[in-house]
Amino acid sequence: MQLVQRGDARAFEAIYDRHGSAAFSLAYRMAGNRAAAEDIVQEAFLSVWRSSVRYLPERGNLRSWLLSVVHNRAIDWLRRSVAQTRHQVDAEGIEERKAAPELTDVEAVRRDEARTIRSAMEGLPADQLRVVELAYFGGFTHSQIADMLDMPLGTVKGRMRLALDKMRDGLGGAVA
Amino acid sequence: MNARSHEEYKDNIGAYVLGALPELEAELFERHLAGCESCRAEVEDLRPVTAAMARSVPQVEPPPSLKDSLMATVNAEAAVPTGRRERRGFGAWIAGLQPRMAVAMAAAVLVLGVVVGVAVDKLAGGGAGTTTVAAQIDRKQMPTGEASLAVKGQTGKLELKGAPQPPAGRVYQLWYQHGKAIERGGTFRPRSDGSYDADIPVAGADRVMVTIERAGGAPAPTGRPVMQFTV
Repeated sequence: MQLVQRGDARAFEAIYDRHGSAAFSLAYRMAGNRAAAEDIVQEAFLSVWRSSVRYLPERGNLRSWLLSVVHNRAIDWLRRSVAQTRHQVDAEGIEERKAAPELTDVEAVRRDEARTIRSAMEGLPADQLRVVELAYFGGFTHSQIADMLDMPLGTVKGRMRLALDKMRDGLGGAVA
Repeated sequence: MNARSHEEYKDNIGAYVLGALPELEAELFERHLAGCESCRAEVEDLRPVTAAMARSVPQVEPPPSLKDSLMATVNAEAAVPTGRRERRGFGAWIAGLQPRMAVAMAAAVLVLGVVVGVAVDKLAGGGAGTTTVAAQIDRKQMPTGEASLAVKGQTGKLELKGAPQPPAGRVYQLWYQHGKAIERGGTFRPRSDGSYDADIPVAGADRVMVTIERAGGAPAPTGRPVMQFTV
C-alpha cells in the first residue's frame, strides 16, 4: 500500500486484482445494478490511488479498509439517487453464476467465510436484521428507517446496536 | 445546536458504525469520538462486524472493462510527477486522464441543436492570466444551473453551480475537441447541491464539451452536449 501511495501503478493493479471482485460485489449488492457498481468501484479505487483516503494498518486489514471505502462511496451514490429506488438482487442466482469447479482455494475460503457471516446475520431476530440491512446495504439513515418502518427513532437505534452486538458475539473469531 | 450529552452520542454508535447517520450528524459524532475514549473503543469493537458484513455478499465478477478504464487513468496519472498528482486531488480525475481516445468524428455532429443559454463570453475575473469562459448550455437538457471554465495556461478550472443530477445510472462526461478529433475525458456527478469543481487539462483543446452518458462513461459521445466551452 505504501507503494501505491508513492504512485506505483503496478502495486495498485495488484491490489485491484486481489480485491476488485469483493469491492464490485459489495457495490453491486448495494446499488443493485452493474453500471452503478462500476462507477462506485471506480470512484473508490481512484480515491485510494489519489491518496485522498489513507490506509492506516492499525485500523484493520487492507481488504476490510478497501471495502469500507467502497461502502462509503456506495452510500454517497445511494443518497444521491433521486428516487432512492432499491433493487432486490437475487443473491442465490448470482452465487450460482460462478461454477464451483472454477473456485480457487482462496475463493473457496472466502465463500465459506461469507456463508458463516450470512448465517450469523440470518440468526438475528427479523426486526433487527431488517434494520441492519436497510442501513448497511440500503444506505438509509436511521431516521429514514424509522419513517419507513413506522417506529420511534430510539427503537431503530436500539435494534441496530443490539444486532451489532449479537453479530459480534456470534461471529467471534470469524471477524477481524 | 445544543451540546449533546455523552449518552446521546453513545446511542448513535450502532448507527454510526452502520453508516446510517446523516452526514452532519456523522461529523458531529466524529468530533465527539476524537475526544471520547470509551465511544472510540466501542466503535472499534463493532467495526469488525460491518467489515464482516461487507464480505458476506454473493460474489459477482466485475467486467474487464472496469479494470481497463481504471488502469488507463492510473497509468496516465502515474506518468505525472507525484507532487502534481497529489495536488490535483480527488475529482480531478475527470481531467481526461483516461486514454484519450481520438475519435475521428465530425464536429458538426456535436453542434448544439438548441442552444438557449449563456452566450459565449470572455468574462473578466479569475486573476492575472486567467480567462473565464461561460458555458453554452442546452437548456432543454439542463434547465437550471450555470457553468464556467477558468483557463490559465494548460489547465482549466471547471465550476458548476445548481446543476441537476443526471438521471439514475447516468453521469456527465467530458470531451475535448482538437480540430475534428474528439478526445474522451472523465465522468462526474455534481454534489447534492448541484455544485462541482475540478481542474481539467485544456492544453490544445479548441472546445470542451459535456454530455450525459451511462455510468462508467462512453468511448465516444452518444448525444448532444449539455454544455460546451470555446477555449
